[in-house]
Amino acid sequence: MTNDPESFLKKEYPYGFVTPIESDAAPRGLNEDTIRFISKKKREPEFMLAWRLAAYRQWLKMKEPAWSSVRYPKIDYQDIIYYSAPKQKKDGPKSLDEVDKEILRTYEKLGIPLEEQKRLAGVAVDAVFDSVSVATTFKEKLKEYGIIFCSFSEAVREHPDLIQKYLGSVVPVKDNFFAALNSAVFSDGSFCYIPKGVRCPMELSTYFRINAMDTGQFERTLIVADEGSSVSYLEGCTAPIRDKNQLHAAVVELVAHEKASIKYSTVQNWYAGDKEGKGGIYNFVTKRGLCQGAHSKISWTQVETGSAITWKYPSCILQGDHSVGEFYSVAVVNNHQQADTGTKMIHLGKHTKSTIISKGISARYGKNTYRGLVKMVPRAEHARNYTQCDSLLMGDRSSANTFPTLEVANRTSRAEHEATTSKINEDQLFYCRQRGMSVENAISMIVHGFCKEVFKNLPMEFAVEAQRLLGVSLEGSVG
Amino acid sequence: MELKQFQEAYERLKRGRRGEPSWLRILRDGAKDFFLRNGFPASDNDAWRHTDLSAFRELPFTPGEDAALISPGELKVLQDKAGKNFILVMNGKLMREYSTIEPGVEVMGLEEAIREKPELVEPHLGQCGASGAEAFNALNTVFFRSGLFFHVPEDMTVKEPLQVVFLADPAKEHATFFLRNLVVIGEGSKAALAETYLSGNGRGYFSSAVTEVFLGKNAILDHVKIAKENAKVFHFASTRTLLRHASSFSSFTLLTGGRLARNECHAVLDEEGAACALNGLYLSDGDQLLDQQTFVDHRKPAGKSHQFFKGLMAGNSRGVFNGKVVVRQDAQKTDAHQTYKGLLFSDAAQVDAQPQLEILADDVQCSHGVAIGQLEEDAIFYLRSRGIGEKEAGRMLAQGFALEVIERSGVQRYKDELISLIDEKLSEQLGNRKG
Amino acid sequence: MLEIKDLHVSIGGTEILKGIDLKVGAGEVHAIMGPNGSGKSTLTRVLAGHPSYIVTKGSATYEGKDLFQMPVEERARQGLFLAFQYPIDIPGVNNAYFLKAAVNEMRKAKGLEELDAMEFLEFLKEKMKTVEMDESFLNRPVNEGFSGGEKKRNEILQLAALSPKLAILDETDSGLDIDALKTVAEGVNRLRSPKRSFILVTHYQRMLNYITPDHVHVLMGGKIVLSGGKDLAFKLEEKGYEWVKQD
Repeated sequence: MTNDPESFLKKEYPYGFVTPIESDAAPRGLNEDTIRFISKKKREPEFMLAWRLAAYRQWLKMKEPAWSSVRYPKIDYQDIIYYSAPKQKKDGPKSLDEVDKEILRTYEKLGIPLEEQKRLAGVAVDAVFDSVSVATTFKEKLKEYGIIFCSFSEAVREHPDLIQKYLGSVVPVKDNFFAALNSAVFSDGSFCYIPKGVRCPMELSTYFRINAMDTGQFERTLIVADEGSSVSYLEGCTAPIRDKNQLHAAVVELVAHEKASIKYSTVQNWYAGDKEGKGGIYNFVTKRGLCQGAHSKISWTQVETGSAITWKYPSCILQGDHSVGEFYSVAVVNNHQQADTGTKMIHLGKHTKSTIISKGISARYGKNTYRGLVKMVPRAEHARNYTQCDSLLMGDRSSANTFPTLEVANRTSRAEHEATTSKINEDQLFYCRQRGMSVENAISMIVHGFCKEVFKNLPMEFAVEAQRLLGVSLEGSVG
Repeated sequence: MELKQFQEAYERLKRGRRGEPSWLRILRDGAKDFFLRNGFPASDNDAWRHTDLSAFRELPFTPGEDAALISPGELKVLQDKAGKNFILVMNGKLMREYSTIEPGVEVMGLEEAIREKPELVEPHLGQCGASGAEAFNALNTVFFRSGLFFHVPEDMTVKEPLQVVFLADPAKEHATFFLRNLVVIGEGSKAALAETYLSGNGRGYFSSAVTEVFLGKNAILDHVKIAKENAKVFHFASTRTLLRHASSFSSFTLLTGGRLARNECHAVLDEEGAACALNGLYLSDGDQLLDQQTFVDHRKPAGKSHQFFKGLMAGNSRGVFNGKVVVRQDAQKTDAHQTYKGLLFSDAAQVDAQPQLEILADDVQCSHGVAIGQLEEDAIFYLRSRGIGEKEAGRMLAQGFALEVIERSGVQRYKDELISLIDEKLSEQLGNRKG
Repeated sequence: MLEIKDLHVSIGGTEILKGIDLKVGAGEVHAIMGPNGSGKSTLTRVLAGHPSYIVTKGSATYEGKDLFQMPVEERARQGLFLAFQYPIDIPGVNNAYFLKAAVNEMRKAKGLEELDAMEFLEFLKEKMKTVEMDESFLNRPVNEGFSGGEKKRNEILQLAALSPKLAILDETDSGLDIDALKTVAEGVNRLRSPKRSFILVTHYQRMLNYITPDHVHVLMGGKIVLSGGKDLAFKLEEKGYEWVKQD
């Protein structure tokens, strides 16, 4: 390793390549015809088109939110391609053998080989490429347990009852500007249903890849865990290096019934833009889980290292008595990245419990904001919350904001929030260096320690990936 | 009060202000324009999202004059209680005959100071600049008639604290009082100031009080504010402090009165090495809404700020705390800490807290913490196991909770007075406590 | 091994060390004693390279090289070890992981192969016996939640694992009960060798009952005011530091 920090920056974002593939895209811009085009492409039933159009009309009435700390030039919503899919000969691949070799190669390069025999046993993958799901592995095996794991498009066609019941039930169309937009134009994503009493035997995961230029990705994920079931779901994302910003506005809805538990982990590594802040993904995402039944549990873990701008607040509505919500987050911003992220824990049920652990790291010109809400309504007797938000600053042009809100409306509840902001402790650095470690290694070690509480909540193979990513995204940040 | 009434009142009062200097007119007009442009804060304003103004807006408050009703006998009692350096401001007017002031300390009505000491007033009035313009601050600038001007020259130690009682004694309902105080402490000087806001009768009114404090190099001011007006009063106040090199400001705010009382403590650490300690406590019951806001602006290196606030909420009352710390890029080596603790006494009480850190410098040590809950069951059990009744156990623990702020605030001088005020309010709160 | 000449050091504009001369040969054990505030800890931290201290005058030569030209980690890799008086805790960083990284840095500096996880564990188990440390230590974050005695033993474990040429122990005896002190002293004694030198910095003579020094120096007011053999320590214990002043 060299001591010249600039040399690290020359190292390219390793996932920044473009797959040379012909694609089938909607015309640029957004109007009702675009939505009809998407719906038709996906051979959706009538109810879906009606839902999309209603969402579109709602969206037209809404304003882009301006309350967050992130700043970006105005987005021209008519200059985005809302649908792009790799060109297919027939209706779509029936099995992996029919998937375009270029696409398979892409996922291999990303470290996600789709051929099942090569997969680490125990992880089923839904691979989403631009606007469509290209493959879902282990479907048959999961079916034996009654688990449905498929692309969202397929779910709309095959399981319309479940979609109609749950779609928009946690994140209503009018929830916010980006959620409304997503509801109108969402292209693909994953759907997952775990039946009563089933513990999902393997990790489920979706790998999102944006490939086409000027394309927005609007995925929709819905996970329903029925009574007494449990599932662990992972999400990963990358995109090619492009000079122009690209919009990613996803919606994720989780529903946990009585005694069910959902663990949702994200390692977000969208292209972050270059050193000067040019290009990169605008990651405007609405993620929310409903702990509907008693003793249900939803746990969000996120490692956010990519994107030019991140705007997301994975939240929990703790409706069932004794339900549990968790949010573990590491957000790293380097160069000109901005992140405004956090969570909402809405305590509605009695004896509900939430934990928030947020670690923000800002390097160079990075801007990091934690924004959170803990709300305990009068009915939520004996609710508990514990929040810890720590920010680490590296470089005198970096910044960190901490904006929590606590609203407690009953006297048996308890909420606790603690936050700190500081730079790396000089004495810790000295101690490590006195034991022979270089400054880079010492910082890397201290930063990993700082994030430990979050990493330990990730599934094993993701934890390793997250640590590596953290190292990569902070490279060159130490002057 | 609506914008139309605002404008009418402005035009009416303007006529009586022909004698005012042009700099003041410019200041007032700027504030008027700001208010007309922005009006009262809307609910989507982050600093107001937990403070509902609709009850206030519905009442026909109209800025104007008001006369005193209180008897001289009652005033004498107040005076005797206070001792040295006592100042009475009644309905906005400095009552010299009831005030005693240490020689060398300059105290006068603000309207008098504007005439007599423009060289001291003009550079300071409205120049605190913390967080820019704000609706109630603008209203105060437009309508203030009087208040107190307090000046301590360089290198002087004022031995006895200056104790000011602001007594509002309106002749009819829905009166308004716009008080503006200006405190200028010269380089190397040391002083203490206590402001107490009282109601002379049970009528409701709109009380607006802005105190601006300027601390010269190495100057020190200990500040205490007590607001215990009657339960129909709407009290909107702010203390805005500008700190120069290595100066130090410490404050303690006790809020117990008012239908709605909102107190803002703003401190701008404008030069290197300044330090401020903001502390406070509020106790609410009935339908009260007590709202404490803080804003500490670290602009230059090596500043220190410590904030410690607590709230006890009973009945249907509501407590709000919104504390913001900004550390600007220049303000390296800043040490900024904030703590808020809220205690809920009843099922219907609620509390909203918004601590905020905005850090733009990297070599800093900053933290904030919030804890909201009720009295520890274990502690109550412990006291009861020693033979103390449940209610008394609760009172003792609540008192202990409140006293911690006083102990930490270094307001020893006022300790006894504060404790008796707290005890008085606590017994009201616990009297209303259900379950 | 180490030669310090006319060393002047200040921190935040205040001069703490006002001309120190000290020569430590290979295999020697030097004890530096002195009252509180005499500059003992400053000396240890300057030798290790703490960035807060500024050398205003003088030099230190370590194995023929200018010590003050070397970054902190380079001094460590060249065999200079400081056992801290107050070892800092590093939350979230596993003790074993930390030690492995340090040991491998030393091995790399010596041109040796790095140890893998298994080899390292074997290696460490051996070392742990010398300081009577429980294996559970390895899985805890560095120094976090350690008692005073545990922190000191952890320092000695690191000393054993990194096998430095020059070990500087800053008040390693403070805050230890007699049993812990014995364990630590035995650990140090086992590590004594003709190739390894020690500088023991201490306020009390207590530790010197268990580790016999070759030389004793008295540091007062930022200067070495008296040097002698091991007997000097006993004399100090008996008569106190005031006695030195009177002489």
